[in-house]
Amino acid sequence: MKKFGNITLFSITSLAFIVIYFPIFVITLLSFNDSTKDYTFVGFSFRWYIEIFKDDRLLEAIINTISVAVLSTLIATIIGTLTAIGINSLKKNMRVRMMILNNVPVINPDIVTGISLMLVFSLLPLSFGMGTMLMGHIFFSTPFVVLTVMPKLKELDENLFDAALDLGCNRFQAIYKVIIPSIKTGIIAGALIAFTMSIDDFVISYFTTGNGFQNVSLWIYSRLGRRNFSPAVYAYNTLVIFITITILTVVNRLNNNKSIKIKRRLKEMKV
Amino acid sequence: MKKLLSVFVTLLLVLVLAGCSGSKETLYVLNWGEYMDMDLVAQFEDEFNVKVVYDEVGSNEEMEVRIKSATTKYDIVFPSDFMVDKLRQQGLLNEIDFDLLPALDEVSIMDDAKAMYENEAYAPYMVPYFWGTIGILYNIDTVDEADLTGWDIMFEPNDYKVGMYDSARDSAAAAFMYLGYNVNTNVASEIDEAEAAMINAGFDLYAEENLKKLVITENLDLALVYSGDYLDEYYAADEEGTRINFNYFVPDITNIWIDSFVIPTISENVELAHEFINFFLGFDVATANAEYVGYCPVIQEVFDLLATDEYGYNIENYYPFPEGTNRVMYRFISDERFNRLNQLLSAAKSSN
Amino acid sequence: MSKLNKLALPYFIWMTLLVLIPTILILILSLSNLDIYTLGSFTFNLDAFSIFSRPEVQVAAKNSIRLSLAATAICFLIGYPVAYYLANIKSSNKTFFVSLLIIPVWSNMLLRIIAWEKLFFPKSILNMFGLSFDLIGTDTAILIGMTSMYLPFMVLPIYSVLEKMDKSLIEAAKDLGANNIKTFFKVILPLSLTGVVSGTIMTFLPSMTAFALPERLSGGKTLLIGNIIEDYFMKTANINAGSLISIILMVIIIFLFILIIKFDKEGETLI
Repeated sequence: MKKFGNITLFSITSLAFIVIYFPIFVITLLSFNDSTKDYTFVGFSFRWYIEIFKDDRLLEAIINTISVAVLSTLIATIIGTLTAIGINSLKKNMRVRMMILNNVPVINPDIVTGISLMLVFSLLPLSFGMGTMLMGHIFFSTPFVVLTVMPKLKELDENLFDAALDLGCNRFQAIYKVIIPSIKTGIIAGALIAFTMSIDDFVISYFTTGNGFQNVSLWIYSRLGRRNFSPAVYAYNTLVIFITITILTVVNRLNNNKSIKIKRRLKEMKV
Repeated sequence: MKKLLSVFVTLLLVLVLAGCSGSKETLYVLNWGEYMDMDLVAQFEDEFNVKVVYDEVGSNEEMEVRIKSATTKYDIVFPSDFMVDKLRQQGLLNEIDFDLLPALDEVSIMDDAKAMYENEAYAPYMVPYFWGTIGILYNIDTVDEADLTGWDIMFEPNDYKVGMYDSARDSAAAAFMYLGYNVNTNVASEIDEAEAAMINAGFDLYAEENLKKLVITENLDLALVYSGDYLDEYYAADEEGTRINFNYFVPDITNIWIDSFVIPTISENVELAHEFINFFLGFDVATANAEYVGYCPVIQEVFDLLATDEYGYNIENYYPFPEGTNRVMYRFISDERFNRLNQLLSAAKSSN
Repeated sequence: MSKLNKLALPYFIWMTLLVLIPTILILILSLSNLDIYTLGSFTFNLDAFSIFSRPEVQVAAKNSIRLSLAATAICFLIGYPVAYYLANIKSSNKTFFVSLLIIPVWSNMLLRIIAWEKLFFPKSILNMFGLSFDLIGTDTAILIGMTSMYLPFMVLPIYSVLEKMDKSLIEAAKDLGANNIKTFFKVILPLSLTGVVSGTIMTFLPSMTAFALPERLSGGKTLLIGNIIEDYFMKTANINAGSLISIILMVIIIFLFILIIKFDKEGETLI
């Protein structure tokens, strides 16, 4: 019975991996296709990987995507963490109200958020471009950071901050040296979500950009089905996945090596 | 906290300002995808020591939204005829100063093209760029050419897999022409009939740029496309030396469109915009550009040179307005009518 | 920690600016003939409400609810077992596997949608493996696509709840004579409900308002409410009608959200 249950669970998990990875597999396949044709595999080639560096517009879009993602993640994580600390210290009513406000961008359809941002930005004396797109990304990724940090803060002892002050820390030190380290996992999770939201975004970028500033999603959108749609973007996508999985594997190895070997052996014996 | 905030604010300011700084004069161009040779744009940048910021969109309406929202202050945009008129009516376009376009003295606009817009109220606001038709792209292996009698092949029940262009104006125009009505009709009963015809036709697919590829791969048998879609694929296949398994059928009556240079009122560099237009009207540049884009140029001298066996553009359907055919241009009637056409398309799309 | 509540203030101002102003603007737009680009004088009217008599809007509303409910149900039925399986495997690679499930989200969503689109046509690159699908235009295509895109967002929150769950509770239930099935329904499922709610929101909302995905995978024939909004804002410039739908969506979502807060007092269930 238990074995049967495990097999079922294992099959469902495999199915999930297949459904999620199938498009990635196809993109990878196309990135090695020695042709612009996407319906037949002509031959194996690395040419699209080289093409990434030859296509100025694409390369620029890639750099833009990564800079906006890194900057917005950095800023959203800082703002989100500090805000969460602030919200956590509010009285209950205020706190719930803040959380509702915080959740608006999370639950609003992207297209509504995008148009809203365009409206506000065009009322302000701003030139559309990287700055506005970055602000847009910060706007919709910060709430996720707040949401991931809040539960960690709740687990903290309420007197921790005061105790730190009593022990001679000033406020910065108390936050920086006492609170932040104890909510580290929440912050990292929040940063990862913020990065994910930014690197993949199309709708909000579409409405908040201007003056020729393009990210990869906008690049794809403006070229879909056209002659100048270069399969180099498949190569870029494959590289992103490949690099992430490699980093993940290495980190995983290092972590595993740290853990005590006997423990692992014991586990294996049990199984 | 304060420190962090000030770092953040400074960073943001730097980034926002970085967007608008830069010593060179900048020209903002909004065009259709693959509709200009970027090497020539680079040449313009060098010759005039300016920077060109070049954006691409997929529809006339998107151009209108971009001009109105003014998130980028475009100097040059390339809308089609009816959209030029709509933009003009809303006061969004500058009149063209033809004195600033000396290149026009060296070349002449084709008579047939000129006749289409010459007497229109929007003529002083535009300089023509390329022109073409809408028609039916079909796979020669799966479609019997004897069936190609007119627009009925798209609307009457048959075994073909038919793709429709996901554009309210073009799909409705095809329906009007099938029914024998004017493409610019605003008679409620005629529009209702077109809606019924579109629902009845039960198209297999609604798409945009990917229609041509779907016909070539036999995923569709035929589809409504722009002449440029056909020419694009023709050149691509010709270049690669693959067999051309598709053709472009233009029924006796169809829509003709002229895309033009216009200068929106949001432009902050009208003079440079004129220089840009003038540059692309010059014979050599216009020839190189027409060779790259592949659409039929509006400049007679360029056409005469390209449409010869030597240049290889001596192909059927390159010229959009052969003698003895019937061509009509869209007009901007009203927003209400356009909304109605969109409802018609949505109704047809969601009917099956 | 009450001394820290000032930290929430800048965020409060920033969010108010970027949430309230556009919301008010969208509300006015939906009830008047205000021109969004000139923001000149306007009169209130209820013209926009006429869209609800349009059959395509009714069909889109039905499609949205039907398909997003179905997609959410599928994601739950696959996602819960996956989360359960991953949370309970006795392997030091646990986090590695969970991360693997998330990584595809970093690749571009538009590209992944196009990849599915290509595969669902009879003539595709899959023919080289002897496979051919003819699914474009079917609900199956849309549901597979949605599952592929949103499944990670269902698995992640459930996993993090299950992972933290006190295993001794399960032991205790079993000691008290509950069988596996009973333990699951009486102990595990109720305790993981917050994760399920977050996962449901994170899959339901984006699938309901998606527009690129249904458009590409249905061959343009299955319109969702997201497509109607996109059409009104981008194609027909009927911004007043688009705003009305956005506002109604917002009201529905906020209503749902208040329901959730009733049951999770802090409104932090989202992640």
